[in-house]
Amino acid sequence: MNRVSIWIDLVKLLGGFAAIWVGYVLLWPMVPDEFKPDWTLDEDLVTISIEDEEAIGDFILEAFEIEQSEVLPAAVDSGLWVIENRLLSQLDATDYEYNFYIVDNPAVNAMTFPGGNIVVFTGLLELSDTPEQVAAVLAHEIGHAEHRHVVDKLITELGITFVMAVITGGDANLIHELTQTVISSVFSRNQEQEADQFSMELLERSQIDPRALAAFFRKMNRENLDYADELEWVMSHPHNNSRIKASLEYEVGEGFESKPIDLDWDAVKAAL
Amino acid sequence: MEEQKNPLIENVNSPYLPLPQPDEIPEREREDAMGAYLMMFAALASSLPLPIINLIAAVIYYYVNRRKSRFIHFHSLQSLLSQLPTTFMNWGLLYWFIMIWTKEAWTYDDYFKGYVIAVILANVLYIIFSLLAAVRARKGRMYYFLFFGKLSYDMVFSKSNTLVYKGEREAPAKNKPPF
Amino acid sequence: MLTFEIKHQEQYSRGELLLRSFFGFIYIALPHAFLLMFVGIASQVLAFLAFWVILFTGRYPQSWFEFQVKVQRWSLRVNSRLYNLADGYPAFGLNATDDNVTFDVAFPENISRGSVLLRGLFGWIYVLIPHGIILWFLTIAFMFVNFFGWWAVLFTGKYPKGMFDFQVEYLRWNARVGLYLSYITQDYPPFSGKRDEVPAAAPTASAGENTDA
Repeated sequence: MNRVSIWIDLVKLLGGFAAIWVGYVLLWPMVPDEFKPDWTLDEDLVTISIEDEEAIGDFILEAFEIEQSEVLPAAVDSGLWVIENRLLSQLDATDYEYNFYIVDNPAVNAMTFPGGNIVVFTGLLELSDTPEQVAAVLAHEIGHAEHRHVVDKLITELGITFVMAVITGGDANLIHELTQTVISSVFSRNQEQEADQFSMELLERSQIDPRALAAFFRKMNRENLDYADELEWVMSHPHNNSRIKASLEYEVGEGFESKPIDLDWDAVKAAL
Repeated sequence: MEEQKNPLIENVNSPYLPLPQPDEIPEREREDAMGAYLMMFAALASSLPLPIINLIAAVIYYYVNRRKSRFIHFHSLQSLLSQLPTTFMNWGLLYWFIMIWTKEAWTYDDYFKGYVIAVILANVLYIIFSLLAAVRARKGRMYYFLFFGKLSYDMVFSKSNTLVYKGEREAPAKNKPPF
Repeated sequence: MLTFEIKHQEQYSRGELLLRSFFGFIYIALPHAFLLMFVGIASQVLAFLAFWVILFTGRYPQSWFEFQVKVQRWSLRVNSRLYNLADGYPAFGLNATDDNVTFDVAFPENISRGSVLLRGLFGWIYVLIPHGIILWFLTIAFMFVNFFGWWAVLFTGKYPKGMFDFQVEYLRWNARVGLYLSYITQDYPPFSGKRDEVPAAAPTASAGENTDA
């Protein structure tokens, strides 16, 4: 009898601890945002200015020889411009001048370079069914840029001194190193979630259905069986089902009307 | 006729020895019992606020003082037993925090925040109850923590506890009543 | 009240003097210091906690008090040999006693919390600085006297009383300041190393006093 009561006490103790822990995990998401205090951890990371970031971006674009390989058939160019414009016009107060570059490469890939430079491979355009899906991918990349994830990633991986050395000296080897990091390293799960959230908000404001992002992810999932190596966008953006789910469950505000992008997408793809 | 139970008479059927009452406990014993609960602040005395210093202090205090009397043993044991999970919890927090800081894959998510809150709360409660127990011990009173109280009582006052205490007779009573 | 005594021996052993001077570090200092290090940590922790306990309860826990006194006694035992003020090998342990060295403090039943608080917050100003300055000079003197004492023992086998007393008084003064600041003694340390005056015994009826003529 005594023994039992001792064990019961233990259960009460552990239960109390678990109740608080689990209680927080389950209940906190239900608290509306206005009541939540702002306790972000990494806000004031050591970082570099926008101008410096744009300088690095320029170095990298040069190194990557982006300008030269830009594909410019008129249909593609203007087609992309329609999509970009739809998104950019809804961006309030951005510090960046966004430049979109299209690279003739069958890889299904899109990358954010420092300085608001976003690179899209033609492989990705070919694989997209609708312009809305492309818009979703671009919005995601813009999200990375706006949240300064690229800069954070560079500084975390290479250190601030390295980055400063590149800005001030422009040494070819350092730039090469920097470029490698930009292309190859992966964003953290937190950063991906932030970019997803941003993209869905931006899509909503641009009157594009945010579920286009999920549609694109699922397309990647299906294609994965056949084009494993070429789906680099998948590799550099590791996603799991929760992200698809988040996109599908994103609740648009009242009065949202999705306006399809006025574009003959098939014609654009044909011109590639 | 109803049997009047005189609580001061030892109940031979109980597996436990009777508790000493406050007026039977000399001041020195009370102070030593109180001291057990103060070992958690030992880390403050040293310059390293690592969670393990408290545990070491509690363990040393326990082994140095336990034979002095059952009352002291009880309080030292309760303090030590409750210090153990507190220390492990705090180490866990430290480890998790360092992992988040240094590894990309570990994120500052809700699970961590929940754990932080639970641990902080647990530490606060631990300190409050320990201080309460310290005050009670100094008055010669028993004080029982949730779970640890009953466990310590069971370990110290049980008749099968073979530890020899200063001032107690060495062998268990040989003469026992017939019924 | 502090009892701090080192027995002034009639004769001092020259052999032990030399042995201590060359090897004392190894066979006396090291073993004792190693053990005292751990004991010292416990002493520091308890001293820190004692401050708070006294503030809340008005009493220095007796077992802790006795522990601290034993630690000090042990240190004095060792140091008296290292300073060549006593012969013989210092005994190990908190409970050891020694013929040559006496260290005792009467247990204070009631401690003034105000005094303890004052010492805790401002002790460094009104105790450490005044005594510290004087002791600084005395330390230099101590080192010289100790040095000359060494030679005296080497040549004569006896320790000159004046030099001996000076050193014991220096150590006693030092001890008093430390004890006051760690809440063991409650009287402000006098600016001297002389023994505490034992209060005069109450006059008892003795044959010499009240004889009826």
